[in-house]
Amino acid sequence: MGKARLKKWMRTLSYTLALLGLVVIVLAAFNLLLQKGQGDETIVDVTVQSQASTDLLVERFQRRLMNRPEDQKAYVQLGGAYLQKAREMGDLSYYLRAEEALRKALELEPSSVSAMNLMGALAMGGHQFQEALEWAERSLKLDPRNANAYGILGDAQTELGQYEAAFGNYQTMVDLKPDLSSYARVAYARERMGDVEGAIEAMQMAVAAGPAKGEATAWALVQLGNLYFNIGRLDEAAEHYESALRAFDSHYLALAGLGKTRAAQTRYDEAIKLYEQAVAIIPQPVILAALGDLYARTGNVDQAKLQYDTVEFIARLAAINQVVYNRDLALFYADHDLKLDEALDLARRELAVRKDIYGYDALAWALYKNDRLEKAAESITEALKLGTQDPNLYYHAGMIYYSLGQHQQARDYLERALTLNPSFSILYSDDARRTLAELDREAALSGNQEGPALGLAKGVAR
Amino acid sequence: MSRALFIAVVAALIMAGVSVLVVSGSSHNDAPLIAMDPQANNTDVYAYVSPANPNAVTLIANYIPMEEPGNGPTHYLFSDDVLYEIMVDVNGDAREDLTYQFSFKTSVGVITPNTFLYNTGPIGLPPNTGDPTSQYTNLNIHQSYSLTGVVGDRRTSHDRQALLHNARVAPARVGPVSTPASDYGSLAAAAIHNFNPTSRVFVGPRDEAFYVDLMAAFDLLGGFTNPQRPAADTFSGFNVQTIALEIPKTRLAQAGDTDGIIGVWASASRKQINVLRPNGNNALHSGRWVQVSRLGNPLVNELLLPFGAKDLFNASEPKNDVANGFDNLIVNPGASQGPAALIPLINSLTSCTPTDGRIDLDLIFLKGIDAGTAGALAAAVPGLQPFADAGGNQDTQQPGGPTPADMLRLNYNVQPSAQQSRSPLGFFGGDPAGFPNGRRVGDDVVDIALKGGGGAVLHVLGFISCAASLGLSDGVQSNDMPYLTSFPYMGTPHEGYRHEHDHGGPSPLVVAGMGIGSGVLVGGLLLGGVAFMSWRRRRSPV
Repeated sequence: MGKARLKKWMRTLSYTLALLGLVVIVLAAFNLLLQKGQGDETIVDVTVQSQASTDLLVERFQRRLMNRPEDQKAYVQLGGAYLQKAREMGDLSYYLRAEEALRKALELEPSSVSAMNLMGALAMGGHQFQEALEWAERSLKLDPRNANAYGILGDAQTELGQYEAAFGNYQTMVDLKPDLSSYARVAYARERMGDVEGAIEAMQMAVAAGPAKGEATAWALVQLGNLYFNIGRLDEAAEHYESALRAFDSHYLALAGLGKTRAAQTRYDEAIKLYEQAVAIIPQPVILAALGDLYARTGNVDQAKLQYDTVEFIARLAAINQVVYNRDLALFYADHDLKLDEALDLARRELAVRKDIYGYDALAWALYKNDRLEKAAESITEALKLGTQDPNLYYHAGMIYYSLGQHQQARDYLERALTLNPSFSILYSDDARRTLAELDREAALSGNQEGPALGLAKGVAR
Repeated sequence: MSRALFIAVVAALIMAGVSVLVVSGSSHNDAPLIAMDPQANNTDVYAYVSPANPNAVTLIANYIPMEEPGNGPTHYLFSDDVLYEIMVDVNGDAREDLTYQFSFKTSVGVITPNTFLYNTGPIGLPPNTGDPTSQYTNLNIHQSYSLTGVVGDRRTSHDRQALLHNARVAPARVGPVSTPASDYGSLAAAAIHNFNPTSRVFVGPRDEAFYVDLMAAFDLLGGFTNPQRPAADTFSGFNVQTIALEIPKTRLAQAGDTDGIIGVWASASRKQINVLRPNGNNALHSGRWVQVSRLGNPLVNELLLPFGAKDLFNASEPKNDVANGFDNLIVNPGASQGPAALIPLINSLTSCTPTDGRIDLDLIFLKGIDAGTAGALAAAVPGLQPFADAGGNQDTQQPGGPTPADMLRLNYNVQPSAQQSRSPLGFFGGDPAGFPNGRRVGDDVVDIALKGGGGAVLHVLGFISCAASLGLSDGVQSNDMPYLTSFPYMGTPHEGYRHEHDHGGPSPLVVAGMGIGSGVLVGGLLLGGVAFMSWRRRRSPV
């Protein structure tokens, strides 16, 4: 190996080692934070119980396998329990443990439909959407009546942008077995297609079909909260996030959702507290970025920077395997005008494996920030093709058309965004309002007295 | 970095004890894959001649397992979105001839709107107890039901009769101030309504009548043979929601029964909805019912059928049991399911239990016991003579024999056993009025299933030599609460304020204070459902 190449290799190696070392330190610090938050698992405390019950399951199945190491069902159950832990804690290591248990289950029984379904769910968690699709198809070959497999199949197809097939499979799922899982998927499909009322109705059915407590019901309540947030019904959104917390204590998505709602209501101190709680449980980049934006908004620049730096650390570690964070990081960079080249690169790479409307949206925004306006417009058109009523999509479209000089379109989209939720984003609501006001003034001055653009807005019943 | 290297790095970090907080992106649709559905969970079905009224048959279907009494009564209401049904086949073709359909309506905040308070003062009798629609006083949450009787196919028949409308459900037993013990009996009794005119119905919370040491069973049956602690009823201290009917035998005859033998099962169904909503139609009015839970004989879905068959069983009809292969799974468990199935597992305890060709299970669970076999049983176990005299419980109205299907089969010409000759072990206790001739509240179906599954019937009839099967038991021989001696027979529910759960004492690994969450499916844990539990608070004994 030539001297120059050796030098370069050594530099890469030392960089990698340094990064790993830094990562270990950072993670160790977070680990301490995490333990501080959770408390002793053996103490019966109303507030910790829901997570402890999954731990109990894990322990139970592990014990079972100690006595019977060839117990296929126990491996399936253990895999399922680890997946549930991953849902609750967002921790990738549980995915790896789940994979180990499920592969063993399949070794013992290669035609285990339940193991295949869980492998599909596992692949979804790791953003391996094509793999998830294949697991679901294998499962359905063996048991064409399995509702869960249709759910996984639909989930994978949704992420790959195969919407028609996905929604057809969701229909089959609910036709076979109406329950929280299938109602939730119908809600998701309806939301994507712009039927917000129908999405809320179906998600309400999902909540009603679940047990009173538990992570599944809490998740559905969070989704309901998100639906209400998107259409600006902030009090209702907050109620649902609070219900989610009652169903599953300290559910990090509920804390973050409630934080987002309080921020939209300009209750910034409360919002910060809620985000801090969420971050203490899971330092997820989207939540960290939101917390950073809140700190920035309230003038705490140092704290804001800390959150932003942490976003990069966490996202980078996962970005190493180039799977889980491309999109979130791309949007983070674009939103904060950082590393715009990389934002575009990440967005492109993500879209290559995941052609859903939000992939096109992330690409559109990254292109916009890189001043590639024509391409941005193409991309945002793809993102809007289903008719999804999302203020963030509309805002992106509005700004893209504004920069392109297509002011009529821009007005329409900005108006739609603000009609849905005047406080849709702590970063962008003000900008949307300012830009729209400017466009309105301009329209008035030029004699185009059309008034506020209502033509395209569907309007959602309140 | 390659994926393999990444995994190696993460693994190394895990081993180093660092919790690798590499969090998953939330940006994909991650709806739960498997969610519990307790309100549609049919837990038990009972069918027996009413001891206090031997001209009638009591049919009971229980739902919503392991209700923790102290956890807020609002959580254990029937669902307004579920159709609850009890079916009766009178002629042995495994199709329903009579169906009783229950739909519920819940009103919250009746007295104080915008609160979820259950009651605003001590709950009192309705002002007009003779009127089923008159509600209890001080109840802030009203649940009532409509009862419809259907003759023929329950989905397509037009022969439907509205039997009751807006009938009150018995209130939860909250505590000594809201529902004093001295009053609760009369409150519950006020939820018994007449219809038709000599049929009766009760709907409301009851003590969970099923008893089993689930943890011993769960510990791979090891707890049965190698107990490390006294047996304990895992279901002690929990409640359940009960639908109970008392139907005159004459009504069954009127529906076409000529031999006194009926098949009974229950179900719960939810509406499917359409992803696309033409004209914004409200799905609740347009979807069709999809069955999500089904139960006839106890423990079939939980113990006898494999993991992969459960969803299909829950969605299927008895008339399709042969087409769906359930008969083969029950009769030839070894060949069809392998060594981890229940019967082969029992054989590992007894060493004499046949694992295939189980003609006894075929009769008990799928066809009913024919007259000849009933006679042979009575010759071996004299107490069973009345069962033989009545001709067994295999329906005789189909010329080619009954359609094999999982239904609870009752010959209601066998009189209820006198108190002193009642045995919770049913046939194994020489009691012809117990399981498998119907199922009474209080029959120890776990012990009966273990013994029967172990081959005890074959042994008693002399087909095999397997005395060990008679000794199988989970060690729990009775329920924690007494049953009632009159309709609805299911015991008084535990009080929210004050109740106990018996878990056999603390184990080295399970810290005192942890209980088992609701949403646990009995067999799900036993043979492998992926059970995601919701937590329930365990109340410490007072």
